[in-house]
Amino acid sequence: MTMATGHTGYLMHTAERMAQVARDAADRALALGASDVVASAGETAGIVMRVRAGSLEQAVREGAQSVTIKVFEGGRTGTATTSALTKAAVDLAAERAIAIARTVEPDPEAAPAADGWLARGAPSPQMFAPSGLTAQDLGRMAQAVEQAALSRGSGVRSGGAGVASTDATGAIAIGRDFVRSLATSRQDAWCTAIAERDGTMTQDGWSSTDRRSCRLASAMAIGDAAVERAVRKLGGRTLPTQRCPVLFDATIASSLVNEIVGALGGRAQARGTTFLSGGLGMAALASHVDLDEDPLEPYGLASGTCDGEGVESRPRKVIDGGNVAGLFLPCLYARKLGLAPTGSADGPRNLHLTSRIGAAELGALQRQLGRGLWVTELIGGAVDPVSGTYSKAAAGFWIEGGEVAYPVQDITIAGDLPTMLRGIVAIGGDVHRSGSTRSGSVLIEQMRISGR
Amino acid sequence: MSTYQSLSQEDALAIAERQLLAPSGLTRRSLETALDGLLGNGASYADLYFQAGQNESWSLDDGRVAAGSFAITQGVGARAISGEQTAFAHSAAMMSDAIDAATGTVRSMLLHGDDAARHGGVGVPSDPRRPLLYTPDNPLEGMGTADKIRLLQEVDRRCREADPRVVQVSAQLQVSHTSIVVAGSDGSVGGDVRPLVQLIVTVTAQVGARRATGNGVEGGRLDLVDLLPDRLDRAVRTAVRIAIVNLDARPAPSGVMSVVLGNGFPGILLHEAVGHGLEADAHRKRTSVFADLMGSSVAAEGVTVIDDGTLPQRRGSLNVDDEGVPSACNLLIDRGRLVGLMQDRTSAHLMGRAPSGNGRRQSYAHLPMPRMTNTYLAAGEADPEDIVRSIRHGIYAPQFGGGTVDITSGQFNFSATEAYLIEDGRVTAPIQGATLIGLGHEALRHVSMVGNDLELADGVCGKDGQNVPVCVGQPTVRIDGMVVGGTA
Repeated sequence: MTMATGHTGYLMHTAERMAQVARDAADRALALGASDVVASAGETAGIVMRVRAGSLEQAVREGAQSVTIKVFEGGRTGTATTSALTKAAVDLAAERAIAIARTVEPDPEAAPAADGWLARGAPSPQMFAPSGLTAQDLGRMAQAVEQAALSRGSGVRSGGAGVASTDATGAIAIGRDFVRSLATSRQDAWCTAIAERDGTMTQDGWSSTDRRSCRLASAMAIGDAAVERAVRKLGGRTLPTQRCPVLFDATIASSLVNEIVGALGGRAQARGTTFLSGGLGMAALASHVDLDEDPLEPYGLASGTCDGEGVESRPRKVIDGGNVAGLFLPCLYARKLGLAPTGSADGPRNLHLTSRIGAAELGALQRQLGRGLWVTELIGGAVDPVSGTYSKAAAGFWIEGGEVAYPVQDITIAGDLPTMLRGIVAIGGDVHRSGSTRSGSVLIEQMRISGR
Repeated sequence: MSTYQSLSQEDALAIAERQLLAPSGLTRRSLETALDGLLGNGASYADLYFQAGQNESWSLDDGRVAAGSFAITQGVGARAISGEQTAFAHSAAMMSDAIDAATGTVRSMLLHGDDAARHGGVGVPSDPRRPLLYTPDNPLEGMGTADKIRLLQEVDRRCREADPRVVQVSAQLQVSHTSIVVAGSDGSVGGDVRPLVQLIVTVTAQVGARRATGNGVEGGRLDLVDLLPDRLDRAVRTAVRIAIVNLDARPAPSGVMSVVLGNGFPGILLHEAVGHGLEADAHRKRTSVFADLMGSSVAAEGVTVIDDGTLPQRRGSLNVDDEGVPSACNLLIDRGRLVGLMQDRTSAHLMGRAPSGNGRRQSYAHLPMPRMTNTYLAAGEADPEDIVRSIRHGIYAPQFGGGTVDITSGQFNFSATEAYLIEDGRVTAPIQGATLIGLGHEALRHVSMVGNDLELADGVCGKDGQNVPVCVGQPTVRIDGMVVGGTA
C-alpha cells in the first residue's frame, strides 16, 4: 500500500485544507442567510492490525471525513452533518441547518461563544506525530506483542493482540472571521490473554496509548502485563456480604473522576440533576484531595486550547482541597448559570487526581487497607446521577493483614458517592493514565460488599 | 396506513439499488469487476457493502424544542476474507475510483493467502419473495417538521399533567432511514431499506430537596405516526412513574435473594447472561464460557431462549442482515438445553455451519460480527401475580437501565432503575441502587417460574465498539439465588 509519511500522515488533507473547508462551510451558511454559524470539519484516517494465534486476523484501513454546520437564528439552533465534503453536500447541509433553525423554538441562551471567550491567540500544544508505519509494520508489531504474551508459557492463550495508528485533523470556523485547526496522532497497542485452569477461564488485557509511537510501551511489557493480569484472576471466589474499606486500583480510579466530571457538567448543574448540587465552593471530596485540569500538556491525550465552540481552555483546579473550584461548561449552560464557559464543549482536558497528604506506593496502601477489598476491575453497574447512589459489579483481591489473600469475583460494591468521595483516605503515587485521566490508587473508608 | 406487507425482499433490494448504486453510476457489472479485484491475492470470499442514510434528531428541553439536527451518512466498505484473515477498507465516496482505491488497499493488506481455506464461502439461502418486515418508506418524510415539534410538546404537556411533582421534562425524537446493498463474490446480492424511530422521554420529579429521574423509551422500525397515541402514552407513563416512585426509594438490600424480574426490558438478563456468550465468534475462538456446552443443559426446564430477526416492525429486525443473509428465527436454548448459536458468514464458514442471519455492523465503516437481533425468553404459564406471591422476602424489579457481561468468566450484571421490596408475597417499598449480578452459565438454572406475559422492549447493544439496535424481552420470571448489590 501507499507509504504513509510526511506532512499529512494517513490523511488525505492537511489541517490547513480542513480549516478552509470549515471556513467555506461557514461562509456558505452566512451567504444563505444564516445570522450566525459554527462550522466544523474533520478527517480521521489510519490503520488497525489485529492478530490472533500467531496470524493476522484483521487488517483495516480507516478513513472518514465530515462537515458539521450549526446555525443560530435568534436562539434557535439547527445542525446538519455530511460525510461527503463536496460543494453540493456542504450546500445541502447548510440549507438543512438553516431550515431547522427557522422551524424550532428559541432558547435565549443558545448562541455561539461571545467574542471574548474565543481562543484567538492561545497556541495549540503539539499533538501531531504521524507514525509513518505501513500495514505490514503495524502487523509485525502486533505479532510481537502477542508473541510476548504467548512466550509466557503453558496455561495461557492469546485472546488477540493489535496495533493501531491514526491521524486526525479538526477545524472550526465561527461567524465571519474565526478559524482554527489542529492535527493530532494516536498510537494504540493492546493484548488480551486467556488463562485456563481446572475448567475455568479468565480473560484480561493490557494496552498502551500515546500520541507518539516511540512512547508506546514495549511489546514485552504489554504482553507480560496481559498474561499476569489474566493468570492472577484464576480461582476467584465470592465474598460474604459485609462492610469494609475498599482500595480502587489506579487502573480504575479514573472511573471515580468520571463520576465527578459528570456531576460537575453544565447540563447536570443547570438542571439540578447532580449529586454535587452545591455548585462552586461546595465541599465535595475529602479536604486533602485536588483535581487539576491541564489542556497544555504536550502530546496529552486530551490537550488543546480551543474546544468545539472556539472557547479557550486554561490550566485550572477543578477540585481544590476538596472544594469544587471549577465546572465543565459549554456556552449554553454557562449562560444558563451566569458563568463563563470552560473550554469543555468536547469533554474534560487532561485531569490529575492527587492528595496533599502524600503519595504512598501500592503496597503501602494495601497495608493501610489492612483487611478489605482491593478492586482491580469494575465490570458494570450504575450510579444514579441525582442521588449519587453507587452500585457496581466488581472483581479484585481480598486483602488480609495488608497482604493479597485471594482473587475475588462475583460481587458488587455499593455506597453513595457523596459519602465515598468525602471518605477518600489516601491517593497513591502509583499513578496510572487511563484515557486522559491520571490517578494513583484511591483508598475509600468503607463500602458495602454484596456476595454469596 | 402501512402497506409494506404486500412488498417483498426483491422490492427492498430494487429500492436500495436505485438509491445507492444508480446515483454513482454503479451497475451490477461494475460491482462484479470490483469484487474480482478484491478476490486477488488469495482471498476466498469478498464483499462490498454500500450504505446511504439520513437521520434526524429533535430535542425538547425546558418546554421548548430549541434544537434539531440532520445528518447524511454514506459510504462503501470493501472486505476480503482468506480463512481467518479479513482485510477491510472503506470510503465515504461511492464512485468507482474510490472503490478501486479501497479494493487495492484491501488486496495489499492480505499478508498471505491461505489456499487451504478456500472452500468458496458458505451456502446462503435467499428468499426474494419473502414479505417485508417493515415499511421501506422514509420516516423523516412521514411527518412535517411542525408536527414533529408538536409531538414533543405533547410529551412535555402530558408529563407535567400526569403529576404535579414533575419539574423537568426532556424528550428526544430520533428518526433514521438507511438503505444498504451488499454484493458478495459468490454472486449474492442482498438489499434492505430500514426505517428506525425512537422517542426518549426523561422526567425529573421533585419533592422538597429530593429529586429523582425516570426514563421511557418507545420506537421500532416504524413510521412516526405509529408512535401515536399508544407508544407515546406508554413512554410518558413509564418515565413519570419511575421518577415518582424513586422520590420515595430507600437503599436497596444487599446479599443473596429471590428476585422477580418484570416483563419486557428486564430481558436484558438473557441478553447479558447468555446472549453474548452464544455469538459464534466467541465459540470458534473459545472465549465463551458456553464454548463446550453445546447440547448440554444450561438452564432450568422452563427456559427457552430465541433470537428472532423476523418480528414485524421490531427495532432489532432485519429483512436481510448486513451480509445479505435473510434474517431468521433461531432457537438458542430449548427447554433448558443449549441448541443454537448466532452466526455471521466468517464464523459459519470456519465452523462448517449455516449463517443464521446475525451478521451485523454499525455502518459501512465497520466489519460485520455475529450479533443479536430481538432476543427473548419464551412465555411460560405462570400468572405474574402468583410469581410475586410465591416469595416471602426478595425484590421485584420491573425496569432496568443496562447491563454488561464478561463472556469468558460468565460474570454479568444489570442495574435496576425501578425496583421494590417483596415482603410476604406483596410488592412493598421502592428501592434504589439495585445492581444484580450472576454467572451466565449458572443464573438461568435458577429460573423457577416463568410468566405468561411475554413483552419486548427496545435497546442498544454494544460489542467491540460497535452499536446496533436490538430488542430484549421476557415474561415475568422468578430467579432464585441472585446477588443484589445494594447498601442496606
